[in-house]
Amino acid sequence: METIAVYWEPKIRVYGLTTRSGLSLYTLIFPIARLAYWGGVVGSLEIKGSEFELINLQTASATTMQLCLLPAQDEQAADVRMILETGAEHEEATCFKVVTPVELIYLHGPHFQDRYGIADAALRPLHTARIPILSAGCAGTSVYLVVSENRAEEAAACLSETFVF
Amino acid sequence: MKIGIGGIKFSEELVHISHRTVVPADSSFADLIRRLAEKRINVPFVCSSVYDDAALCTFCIATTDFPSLERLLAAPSTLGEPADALSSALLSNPEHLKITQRVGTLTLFPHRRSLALFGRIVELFGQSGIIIHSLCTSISALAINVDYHALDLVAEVLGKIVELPENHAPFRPEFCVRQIST
Repeated sequence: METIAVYWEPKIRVYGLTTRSGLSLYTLIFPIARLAYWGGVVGSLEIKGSEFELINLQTASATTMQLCLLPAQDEQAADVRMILETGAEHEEATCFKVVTPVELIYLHGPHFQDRYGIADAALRPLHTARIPILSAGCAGTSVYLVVSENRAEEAAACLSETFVF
Repeated sequence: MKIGIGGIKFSEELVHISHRTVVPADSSFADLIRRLAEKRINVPFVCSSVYDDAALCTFCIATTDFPSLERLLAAPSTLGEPADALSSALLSNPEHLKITQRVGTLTLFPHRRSLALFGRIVELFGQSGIIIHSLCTSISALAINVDYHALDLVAEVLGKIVELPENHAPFRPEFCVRQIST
């Protein structure tokens, strides 16, 4: 059975756009065989009181994974950094990088997961404006974009070309 | 101790595409996402991260849309680029584009921004030999791409560390929402 509903909007409406600044972005590349180890390390960060804004994990090659972690509270940044850095130092074939400070923009909207063009509407304006996206996550109804310091405001202005906040 | 969650949802069958670019010179990922939008192909999952000059980008499309993706990779874009410029940049170099068929997204909610939940899941999957193709968080959920045929098994394994509401069974897509026009 097919049901057709009609809805039209000149621009993509969202429930609002939020920015955060003063965050730190951690990226790790590690052997797939060490997945359990890194799960344990990241899980232990919660004991320090950290929450996350964004996490993504990707298969980087046949043997490696790339983890990108954006913790929520920068007050814990020193502890988070030390734990990840120390973990990486003791691991073979592991790369670790911190970019700080960075800024986050996120927005979410109705049925984003079912609609074509949402990822393009989020990525294209920043690409056109040559604003580098350090990390991104579009899943469910959300769009998360991490940009360099002092670029979030400009990025939000660019996103107003394709979204109505 | 198990971590209480609200539920688990399975996606339809997907194709998982990983793409490498050199930033900022290479625009092939943005071009590819634009072309998918032009062809009205939904992209329910995207994540990317950058390490030095290399961007690693992953996205998923429905298996039913994959023939359209294959066709558009071989077709000229509306910007008048050469017919096979993008496809040759992507498809001819397996280092740049990796396509994995028969992937499914297991969505677990809510995550409550909990590093313990994320960490324990990743630790468990690593110990259990479950392949994570990719994973990304949204505002409230954790979306994990695994082999489509393994979705039930993965949900069962997750039962070791998460506590679901009584009588909860993973939600499966019983209908498909598809946008057919702008």
